[in-house]
Amino acid sequence: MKLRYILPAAALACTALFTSCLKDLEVENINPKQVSTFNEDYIFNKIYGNMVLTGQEGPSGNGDLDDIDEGTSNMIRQLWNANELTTDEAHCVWNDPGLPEFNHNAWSNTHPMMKALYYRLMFGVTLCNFYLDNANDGSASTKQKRAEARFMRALHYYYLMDLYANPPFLTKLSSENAPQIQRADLFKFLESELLDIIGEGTGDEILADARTIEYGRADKAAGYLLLARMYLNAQVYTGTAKWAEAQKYADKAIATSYSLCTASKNGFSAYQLLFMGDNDSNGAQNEIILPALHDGDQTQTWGGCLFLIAAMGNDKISAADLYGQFEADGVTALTGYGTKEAWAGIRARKQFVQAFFPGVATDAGVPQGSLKDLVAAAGDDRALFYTKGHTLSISDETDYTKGFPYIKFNNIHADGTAGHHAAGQFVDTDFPMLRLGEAYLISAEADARLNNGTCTAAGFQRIKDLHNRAEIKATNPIYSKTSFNLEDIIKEWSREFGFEGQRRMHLIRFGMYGGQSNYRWEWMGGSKNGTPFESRFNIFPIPDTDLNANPNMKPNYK
Amino acid sequence: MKQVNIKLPFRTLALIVGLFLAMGAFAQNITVKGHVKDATGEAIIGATVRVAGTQNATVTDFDGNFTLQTKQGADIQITYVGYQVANVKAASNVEVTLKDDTAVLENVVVIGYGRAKKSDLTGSVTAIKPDEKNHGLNINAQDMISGKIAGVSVISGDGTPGGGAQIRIRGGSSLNASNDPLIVIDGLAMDNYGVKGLANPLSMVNPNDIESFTVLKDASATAIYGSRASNGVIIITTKKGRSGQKPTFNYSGNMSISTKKKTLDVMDGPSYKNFIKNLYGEESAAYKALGYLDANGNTQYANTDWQEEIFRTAVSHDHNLTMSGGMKNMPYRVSVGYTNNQGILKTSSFERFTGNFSISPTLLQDHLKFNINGKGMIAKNRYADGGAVGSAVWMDPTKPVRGDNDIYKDYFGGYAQWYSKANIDGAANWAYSANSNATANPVALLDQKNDRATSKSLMGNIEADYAIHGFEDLHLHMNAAMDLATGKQKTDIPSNSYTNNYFGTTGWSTQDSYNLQLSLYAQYLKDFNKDHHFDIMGGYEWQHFHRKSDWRSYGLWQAGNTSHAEGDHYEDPVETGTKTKEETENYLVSFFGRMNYTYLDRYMVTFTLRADGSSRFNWMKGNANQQWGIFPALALAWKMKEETFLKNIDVLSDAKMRLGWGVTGQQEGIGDYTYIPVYQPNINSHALYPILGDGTTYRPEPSNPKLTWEKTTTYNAGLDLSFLNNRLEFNLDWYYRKTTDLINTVYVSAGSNFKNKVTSNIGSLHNTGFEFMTTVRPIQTKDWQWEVSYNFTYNKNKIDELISGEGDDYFVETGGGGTGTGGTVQAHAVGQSVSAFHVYQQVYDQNGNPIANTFVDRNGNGYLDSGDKYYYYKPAADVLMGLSSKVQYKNWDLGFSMRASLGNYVYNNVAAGGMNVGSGSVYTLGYLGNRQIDAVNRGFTNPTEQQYYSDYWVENASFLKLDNITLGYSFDKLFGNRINGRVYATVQNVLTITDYSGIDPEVSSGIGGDMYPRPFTTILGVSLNF
Repeated sequence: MKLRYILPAAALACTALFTSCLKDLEVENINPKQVSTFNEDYIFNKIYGNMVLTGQEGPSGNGDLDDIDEGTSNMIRQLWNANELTTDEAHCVWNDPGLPEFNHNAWSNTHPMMKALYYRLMFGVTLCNFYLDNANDGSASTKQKRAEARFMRALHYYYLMDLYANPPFLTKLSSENAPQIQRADLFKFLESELLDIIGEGTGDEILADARTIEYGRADKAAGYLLLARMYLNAQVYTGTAKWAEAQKYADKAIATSYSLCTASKNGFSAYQLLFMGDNDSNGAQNEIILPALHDGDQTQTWGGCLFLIAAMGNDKISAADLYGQFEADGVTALTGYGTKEAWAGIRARKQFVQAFFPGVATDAGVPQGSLKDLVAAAGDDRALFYTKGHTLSISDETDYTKGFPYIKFNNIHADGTAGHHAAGQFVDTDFPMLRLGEAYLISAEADARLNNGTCTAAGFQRIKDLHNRAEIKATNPIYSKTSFNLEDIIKEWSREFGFEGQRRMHLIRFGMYGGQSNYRWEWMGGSKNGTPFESRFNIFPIPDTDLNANPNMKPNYK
Repeated sequence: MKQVNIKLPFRTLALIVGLFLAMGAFAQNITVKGHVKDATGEAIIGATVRVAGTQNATVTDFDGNFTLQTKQGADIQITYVGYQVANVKAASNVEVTLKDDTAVLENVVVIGYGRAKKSDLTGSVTAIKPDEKNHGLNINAQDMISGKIAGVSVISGDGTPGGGAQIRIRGGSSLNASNDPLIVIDGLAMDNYGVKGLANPLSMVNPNDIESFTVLKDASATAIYGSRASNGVIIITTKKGRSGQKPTFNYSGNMSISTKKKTLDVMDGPSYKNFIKNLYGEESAAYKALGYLDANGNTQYANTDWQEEIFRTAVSHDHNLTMSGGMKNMPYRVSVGYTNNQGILKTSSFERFTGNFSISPTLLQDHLKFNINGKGMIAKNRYADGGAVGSAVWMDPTKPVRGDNDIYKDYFGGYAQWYSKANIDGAANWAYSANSNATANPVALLDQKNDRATSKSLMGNIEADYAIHGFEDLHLHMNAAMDLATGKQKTDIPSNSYTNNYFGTTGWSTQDSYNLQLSLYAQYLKDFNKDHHFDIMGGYEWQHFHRKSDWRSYGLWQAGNTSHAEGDHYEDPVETGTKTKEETENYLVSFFGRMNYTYLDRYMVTFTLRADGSSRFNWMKGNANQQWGIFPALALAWKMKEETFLKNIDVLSDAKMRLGWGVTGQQEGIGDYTYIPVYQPNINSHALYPILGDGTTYRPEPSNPKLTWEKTTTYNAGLDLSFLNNRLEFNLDWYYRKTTDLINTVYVSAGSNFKNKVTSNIGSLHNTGFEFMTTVRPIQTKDWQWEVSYNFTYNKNKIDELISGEGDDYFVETGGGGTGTGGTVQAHAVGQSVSAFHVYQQVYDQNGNPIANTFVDRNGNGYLDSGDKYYYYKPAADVLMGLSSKVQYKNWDLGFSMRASLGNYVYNNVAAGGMNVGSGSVYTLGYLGNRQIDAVNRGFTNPTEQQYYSDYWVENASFLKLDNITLGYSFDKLFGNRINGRVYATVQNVLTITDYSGIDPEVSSGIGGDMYPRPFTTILGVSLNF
């Protein structure tokens, strides 16, 4: 064999080999778990799903966010914590890092839950931007879906504006560092965006008329109500009040085909029906404008309504307790809520109880009993407290028997059918992100604001409509009131929307939150009887991680 | 080189050979009859017997005899692999005893794509042969190099039988990308996938089959492996037979007993009861939750030491049988091994069967050499539920392991558990279920989980080396290799378990992978007169890695259910079909070359170059092609001893100076497709959002089209000295390694990608270090031999640049932490060590006790925020030392190995996680949790988030470990000369000296969690040759 033959032969063989081998480097993703083609509808589902789902494997396992416990990253769970635990309504006895800081109004820019919520909301914005960049076929149905995606983006930005004031701002997908927007500018953007998609602007991407599309999707009523909520708080966000606009859009929502749920069913009051496992079909769906859909089988999460139901509980409460009976002591679970999950952590603060039992300061003033007893004693269907074995005051902030459980949400189906999750953990209860009742109270408050702090007859009637639905009894002092002023209204917000994740914005609007010392609640600012805290806590800090990664972002306070 | 120059030497050579042959024909000859044997008197078969300087040669026959015609008194040379060359003068009868040439063997080192004489090495390369006499229990190959090589740190994961280890060469050059070295077994570069059920690729090889480890440390040595070499390369070769050798057999086996060493101090039953009484009062629900109800409904209080209940004394054994020899020109070696390793955590065990063969036939008068290896392995793992270790610390000590209580018996198989009322569709007969928030009974966790895996692997390679006929200076080399691995894990948990109450679970998961490699290279060796030596190599390599996995897992509806038939599947993912399957692959195509030039056997230059193309980086249209990288290296060496001014200094046996520079890459530890945008559909049917269609959701996945590999530039300077005929050896190395384009998964600007964290190239870091190794042989007499080896490593790393953020305050969070909701206690920051602890500074009272929730306001803004965190130590050691000693007196040997690690810190996650002894924590969510006595004494009752991120939990975990002590006795005349061998006894993991308060200070990540403790083991072993 000679070298002169070997070398060319080898070279030839190698060339052939190399060409095919170099082609090997151009791989495609062969993972059957993932797909490469855009699907408009499936991204659309994910946009809405961001309110409830935490990842692509229910209830957990493939989370949307890194560096946070997946259940903790749930949007509703953290919206709720941020807006309730920091107020006169709720307290959590668990000691998970971040919860004492919520309870005590003492968070910093490393707060793990507010960090998770920030990225959860920005993830929703990014999904919407991505959808809007890609869903462009010009068809009528796509135009309507684009309007919904813009609505959902506005909803995410609304929460960012409310909580973090000055978030990153992008309306298109971009790998560049996002610019920061100031709160007032974001307000302007959201205002024009929402007006456009309810058909009062120049665009042709319009939301569907109220109740003409699937339950669960945003229609014009959702646009009206979110606008009304923004206008109601406009002074906080921009420095300029917009009470008339608030009333206008609240009334527009009321004028749609949505209606208050007023009919009771199988022993459950109309008000209770709003927060039950079958609230998508028991009559509550007439009032719920934007539900965050929950299904014990299809939308499993460790947050959302499961969190609201399981965390309120007491491990002694049984099904019978919803109807007024107790079970004997023993180690049991709150099967009465329609889930076996019993986390026993969240309690009503004294000031919230006092919204129903004014002037009551000690345990003796409240009957020991279950929901029916308390509803009867208060003369108000909304007084859904469970008091047996619990004290009114949270004298020890880590003892779960201190403070009353407020059993508003449950997973019982009013029609007697079983929950959808066979193992009895996950819940079917939809969370009302927007419900018509809010339009009634916005209308009434705006009415009072425009009339020197007291409602006109029109505003008075709005509140009366809510009272009638709550079956206010003559024994209840609010029954015989002939006028409502702002002091009544801030309490009414608590009674009607208690534990619905709204309280913080109402207190701030009424000047009853950070930076004042007139109004105090238990554990406010970290002490038993309440200590005022600084006004900087009226907004949450931009998380350190984003300050760190995005040089455009400036801290909300030094 | 010009063409004419190739032809000329070739023709000249042919002419010279022809002349020699002609000369032989005219000489006056005698017949030489001879016999060749080894030191033990055994005949050597197949030894080459050659008349010096001629082609007149023969080989010895089966009895070691030969006959040869040559001139009286001619020089006859006898050569045989593994023996020193023997020279005799031709006579009619000669008898030759060949001497074992271990020195020669030790002096040849396997390097990347070739071999080199140790004395000719220009890079920082350490080769060791496993010490047959001074080692502990070697279940995995990494056990053999732990503490033995400067610059190499081996930290076993934990005490899990058959468990893996973290291997770091010179401290790791990466942040998030893998810091694991590339492992090459018989020429095959292993993938990073591992095998389902096995810890790492090293588990596939039986340690008894390993001939040598070569660790390539600096870039001048590793650059030949290009884009995968930044963290060093470990080359493993397996043992071979010897040609012409009669079949010999070896049996080695051992038996060992392992026990646990240390547990955490938690409250016992009576003191816990007292603690609860003081905390909550006797009327409290918490106090009532203590103890358990007996069959008569009376409350009883047990006193269970849960940490005692979960462990056992474990018995293990290990057997290996080897046959090796040579059939004429075909050396062979066949071995089988069996390991049965019981874990000290109840139910855990590891069983492995290995088979290994190698044949090395030589054809065409030594011109064509084959080397064929096959390794098969079957491993059976039984996993203990590792959660039991943590549960044993937390479980209420007043609960019994089992209780005679109807609820325990009916729903939990008799085990005590925390339970709550059940609410299962149609299962009114199943009244109670586990309280899923509570601590599980650790003994039940172990007993009720049947979790086992079977892993199989098959590795094989065919290596051919052809020295071209008539042009023997040029070798063509080919290595075709493959590695197939398959593993299946099955998990069964009964319906009366804590974790899967009512439904139970039955499931499996599989992983199959293959790795194919073809390497081709040509090597040209040439001496141009005595002064110039060239060794030039050039080649090509193609490698394909592929992995796929699948799983299935479901529960069953139980009898008596009114809504579902008994035995129907619950939560069975089969409905969602392919959503359980995963598949991924990557390719690597490379061209490489190396040139060595030696002048006067004194001055040496090595230049290497590799071009790597990797499918892990972007090739797609519209993007810059990121697939190709070039990795050059240059090294110089000077054998000072050969210089005239040192040549006559007898006390100095050897002296060499080395200088090296090179660039290497790193591309492991990232996905195969990070640059390809894809969507993740919902994986199961519980992540739907039912508004359009069936509610399917797609999540766009984050991608980074710009991602490329890391590059590390290394500078190395070394000095090798040896004195007094090698009785005193020193190796010194200094290095500086700079890594750029660091790959890390970091927070990105919110809104700029589909996840808050994305894998990116973010900055640079450097490592500087110093290594020192010495071997001293103070006593070398006929009866006494004593050898002491010591190594010292100093390494420091610092992050130089992090580009995705700006400003001095930028950092990248990393590592885990003591909280349930995310958060980290470590960060990478410019000017700091990698993974430095990033914590608040605890405030202490006058007595030196920490004050809860009180930290130094380091940025002075009046309140506590992230700006108050500071950088406080790091997990990597500053200094590592290894010391081993071996003394032999006649037939006795005594050895020990020690290791020290200084300046490594650990965040005590177990202490931090269990610090809360307040009433809101001890009895919560319907169960009681035990606490460490330290936590009770500390008395933190309401810690804030920041308390978890306190420097208080970061402890100095420097340690000194006595790894093993071995006493052995060798014998050589058992049963009338037929059998020789050795018996030995070893104690392993003998002693640890440390200030760290957790179970074990040796924690690779710096986060000390619940850990399967490393056992104390006593071993008795025997090795027999026959």
